[in-house]
Amino acid sequence: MIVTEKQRVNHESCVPENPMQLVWLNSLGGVDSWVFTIHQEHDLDVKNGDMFEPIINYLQTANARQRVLMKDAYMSIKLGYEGLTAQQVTGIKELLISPLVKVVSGSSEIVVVVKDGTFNLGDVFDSKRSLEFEIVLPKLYTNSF
Amino acid sequence: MSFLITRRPEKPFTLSSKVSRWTALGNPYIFEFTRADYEVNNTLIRPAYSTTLPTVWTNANPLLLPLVVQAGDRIYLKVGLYDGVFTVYSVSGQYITLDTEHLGNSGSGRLNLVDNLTNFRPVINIYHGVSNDVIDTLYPKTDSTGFLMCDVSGVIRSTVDTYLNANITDINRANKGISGSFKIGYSATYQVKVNGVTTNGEIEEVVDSYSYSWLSASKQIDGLTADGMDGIGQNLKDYVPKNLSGSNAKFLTMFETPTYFAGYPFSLSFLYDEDFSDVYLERHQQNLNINGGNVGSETDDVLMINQKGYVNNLLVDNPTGADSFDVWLETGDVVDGDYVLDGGIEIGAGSKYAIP
Repeated sequence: MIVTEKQRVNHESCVPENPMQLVWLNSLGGVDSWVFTIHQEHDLDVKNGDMFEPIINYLQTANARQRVLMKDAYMSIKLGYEGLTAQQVTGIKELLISPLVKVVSGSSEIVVVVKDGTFNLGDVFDSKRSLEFEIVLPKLYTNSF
Repeated sequence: MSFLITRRPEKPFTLSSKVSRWTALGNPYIFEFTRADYEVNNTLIRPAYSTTLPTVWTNANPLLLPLVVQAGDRIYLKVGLYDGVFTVYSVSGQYITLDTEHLGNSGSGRLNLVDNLTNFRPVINIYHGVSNDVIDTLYPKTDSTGFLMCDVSGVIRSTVDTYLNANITDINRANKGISGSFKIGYSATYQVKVNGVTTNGEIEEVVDSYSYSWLSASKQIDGLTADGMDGIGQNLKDYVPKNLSGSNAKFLTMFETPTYFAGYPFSLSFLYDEDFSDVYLERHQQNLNINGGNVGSETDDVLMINQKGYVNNLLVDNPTGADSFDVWLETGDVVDGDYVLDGGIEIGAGSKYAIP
């Protein structure tokens, strides 16, 4: 006895160039996924943390007036896809409100964050849409200790 | 004296006694309770007590009621036309005559003491559905009519562990971090004045026999079907497969047609309901060509039954040579209890490791 609907799934045998798969939890608690194209790789956003400044007694011998003690580095990647139908855009939009998004590469999985305000939709042709957005990889910490 | 669940967070399936007890945890998970100190059979004019004032016939102990309720006391009445707080004119056996005009005859309902039963404190225990440990205890208050609406979603949310395994290798695998079940137990304490003496009372805990399931999901606020909405609020009924003819549950995807990219992990999610305890579930798959015609024959594979009770991720077969494919679930063989895991020895069978 059939107990669910018959779910049609498209089979895309042509994987896009420079592919990157995202897998996420949608608002229904299910798992959705899509393979995007990497449009721009490794945009690095660095923020300086604490600074060290020598007290005035040591300025004569100090070789610097200040030194950065810590930096936060956010590495982001721009992803996109062209030729999406309306229902595919609806599904992918869930990325924006997902509580958990992962990049899957082979057997490894990394939790990433979709960057605020970077989700751009465009028209391509024949009511098909293109989209582009940025994901932020886990924060990097560097320090001088 | 009773304190009972009067409305459960469940939705019935059409033409069936089965219900969906799956609720999206991003929405309120609400139980409704009602306190009823005495049941009321009817309210009408009884000339034996008064020819002009209405008299309430309760199910109370006729010897005890006159000790608990006396002339001049206030009671809350919820029976047809009589809905509110009334002053007692006289009490005799199971009958209470009200000091109010006769509004008409009314049927059954409930009666709560206002002056003589005080400090009514409900206690709601939320039990883990598997371990039976108490997750948390709530102390909500009933309103002046004895009604209590209790939202347990906050308690359950404290157990959520947002998790996602994209690389499953089994045919189906439960995500126990974002789904689960619980039971609810309820009791109450109060103080009652009997013949002028205040004593402590207690309603012993009742653990509801049903198990309630949750999923870390959120549905849009919903309304009536007449308004074009699904009319089932936070309940996930549309996504709950049941061992029931006509069950047509949806998979938990936001895509109308998801896409399987060759060489990349792919799974569909569904709710593996406890209704399939006695029967195996099978994944069926039919590969299709670009015109929707069949490619090869339909495949069927049995799901792991020990993953039920949670949201599950379902692997699909690699659709080599197909342009699309259909996936659905069907009931399979009946669970006979003789299932032997790989490496196990059936009762009565000889062990190959036995010493000769």
